[in-house]
Amino acid sequence: MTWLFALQLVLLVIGIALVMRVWRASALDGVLCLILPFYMIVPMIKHWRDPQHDIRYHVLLLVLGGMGAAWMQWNFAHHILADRISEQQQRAHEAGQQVQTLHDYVYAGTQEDDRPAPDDTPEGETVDLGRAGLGHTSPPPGEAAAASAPVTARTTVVASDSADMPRAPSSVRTTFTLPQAIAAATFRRGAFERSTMGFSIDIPEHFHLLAGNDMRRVETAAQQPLDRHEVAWMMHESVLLDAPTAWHVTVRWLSDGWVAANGTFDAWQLLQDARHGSAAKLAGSRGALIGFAVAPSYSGGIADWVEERLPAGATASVLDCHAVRLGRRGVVEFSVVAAPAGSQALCDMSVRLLARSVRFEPGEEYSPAAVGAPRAPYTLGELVAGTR
Amino acid sequence: MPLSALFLVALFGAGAPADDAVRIEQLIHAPPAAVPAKPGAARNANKPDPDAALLGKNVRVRTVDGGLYAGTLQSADSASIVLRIELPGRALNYALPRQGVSILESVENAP
Repeated sequence: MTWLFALQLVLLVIGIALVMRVWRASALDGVLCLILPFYMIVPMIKHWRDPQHDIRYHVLLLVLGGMGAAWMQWNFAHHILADRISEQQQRAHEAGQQVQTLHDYVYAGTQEDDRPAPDDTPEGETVDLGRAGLGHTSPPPGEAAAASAPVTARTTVVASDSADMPRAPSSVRTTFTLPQAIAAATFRRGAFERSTMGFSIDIPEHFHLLAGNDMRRVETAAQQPLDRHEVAWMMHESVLLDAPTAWHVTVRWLSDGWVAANGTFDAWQLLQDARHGSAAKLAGSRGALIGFAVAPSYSGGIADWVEERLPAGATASVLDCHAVRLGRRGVVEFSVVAAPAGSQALCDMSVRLLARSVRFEPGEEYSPAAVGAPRAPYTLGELVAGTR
Repeated sequence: MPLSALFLVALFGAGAPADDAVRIEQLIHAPPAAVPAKPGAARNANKPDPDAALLGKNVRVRTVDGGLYAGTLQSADSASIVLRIELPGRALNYALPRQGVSILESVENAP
């Protein structure tokens, strides 16, 4: 770079000497040499044999110097370009590593989830269970402890959705603890837009929401199974996610298409069907269905119900609360999984309130007739009962 | 589950979103209460339980808070009823408090 500047300085001096020599012979030629490119050839030929005004050596030096400067500049530009390409490749490599790390991070922590718990009750064993105290008395201490086990510390049996997910290398683990993940999270209020899915949620007063990386970090730290349908977590503002009695509403989007809803529900038939349902698409504890703590009901595009289930090996039943809001292209699901027995009123009202807070974009609202929308391979009844 | 919460639900029933929001706040902030189950005050212990006729039969039970359960009626007294519910791989004796039962009916001949 320094050599290039020095050479250009020398060329400038030679150029000035050339113009001065021509100027002495003719002021007009001197001015034209300054203005017109290559005009120096004219006075060079004109004064070729005039030792006083001969400029052929000046021109020769200018040409050679110019070629040298051009070569140096080309070399310099090539060097800069090579540096930039190398830098871009380095960035791409780093980005690739980050993507891989993120991928491993997102899918970390799911390897042991499919395994049965060591204290699972063997098949065929009879368990005495009841709700003698549900909503009326305090449950026995042991049951209470099991029922109020923290949502965040639960290792629920993995949903079918995560069964197909890629597994991360066992060495990859997030370093976030649950309190750290919660502290780093941004809890949203106001409206939560999901324009790609065609809806938004007006987060009700006293509720807030976690989404994106914040949700994933908390989910991974809490050893929750990952779910590709999951959109957000919604919590009441008074609920601390790392508290023993924490609970949250999982928001999921099922993009299977328009779902046929056939008038009112026959809760009795749904209970019979749900006992044999094995194709559950909704989030849940995946335990055996005991009954409906709140029987399914449907109105205005929203269905809500509460299932009482007995997870494998458990001695206390849990509640899976659901509300689904039908849309033109799919279903927005709100679920509380494995809530303590007896909390069906709060649980059901929460998911129903949130389902009512969904706003579909124009043209994305549900209508009883599927107008040009893809049809889901199941009806609302089959979705509730988990039979297809 | 505090008893007051159930009273609130029974009092208001299913309603508008604003009602739900208010009731959620009430339930969230309700103090935990341990109210023992009342013995079957409405029933006379000397009289035979009318549900005794359903013992051993398949029944369905609707609860006052909108629940629905089905099973074989194992026992019934003034305090509770017990259903035997067959689950995949196990059987469950499931007790429901008598005052939480709204309707108890046989489904032997039901469709």
